[in-house]
Amino acid sequence: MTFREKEELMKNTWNDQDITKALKNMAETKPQVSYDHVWFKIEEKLEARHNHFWNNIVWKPWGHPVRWVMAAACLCVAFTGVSYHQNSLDQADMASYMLSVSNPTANVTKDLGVTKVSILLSEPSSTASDVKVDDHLDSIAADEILL
Amino acid sequence: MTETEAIDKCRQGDMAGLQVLFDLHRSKVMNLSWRMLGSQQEAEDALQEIFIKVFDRIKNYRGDSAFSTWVYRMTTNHCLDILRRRKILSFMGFENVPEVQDKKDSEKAVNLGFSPVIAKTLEKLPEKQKLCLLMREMDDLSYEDIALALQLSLGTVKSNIHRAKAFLKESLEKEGLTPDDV
Repeated sequence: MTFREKEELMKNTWNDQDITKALKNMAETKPQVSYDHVWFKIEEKLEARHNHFWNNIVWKPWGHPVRWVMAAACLCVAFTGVSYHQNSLDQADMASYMLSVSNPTANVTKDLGVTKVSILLSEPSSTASDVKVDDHLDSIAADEILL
Repeated sequence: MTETEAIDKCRQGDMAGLQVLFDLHRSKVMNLSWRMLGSQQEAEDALQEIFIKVFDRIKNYRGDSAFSTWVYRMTTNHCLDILRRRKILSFMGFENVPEVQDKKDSEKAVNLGFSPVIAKTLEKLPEKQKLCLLMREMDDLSYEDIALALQLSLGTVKSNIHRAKAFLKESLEKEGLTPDDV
């Protein structure tokens, strides 16, 4: 390697001082800021905060990832609760429907012209024993009276 | 009013104390925020929020470190929070990400007073290494102050600066840039 090549290489090589110098030169560039304006805004915000207590209480769920998770969890719990409640209502409806469909006795007693068991049971026991089974045309209703 | 008196006044809720502290530290806080966030508007907003935080949390300042170091720590934490939020927002596809994200590296670098090549190389550095280097070389902070501000050990700060410089040297040489060019 010739002397000139060595000199060239030395010129191209960066050392710590060069880096420091380059960064220091760049540090001279500073933002043009109106600090009075910034201070005015700070003062305004602090005074506004003193005046309105409720302005302090601001929930920003997007402020932090943990809050995102919390918000998602709350939504999930609410949704599960609503769907569970809806499901239990549906099940209760279905159960009452099934009960009314699968209970023929209840349907029969609702038929017009048939003596209701409840009415007979509410009568005094002496009169209940006098009731003749043959008076009733409907055999299912007769079974009911015997029970 | 001295800094200590201003701190005491600020602790009592007096805004005159905060104004003195603001006048003393505003330019350093602004420069650091500006270099970290890459946008003057965002840096101005950060400056406001940081001094409001200073006013709110000054009761937690025990005087173990210099007040400037405490303010620096608050500044770095605040700016790192903003950068983290910005990353999350851009990851989630929100459109409200500051426009600086869309700017080309070279344009951003010129705004910050960096040479585009150095800016590009700095962008490749891990956040903590970049911060250590900028705080040391551009803001003239001592190793101890950087360690306190970034909550790192002294050894970590030194090794971060050393690695950052080595990486910068290597990259600049690869780019064929000489010290005279910058």
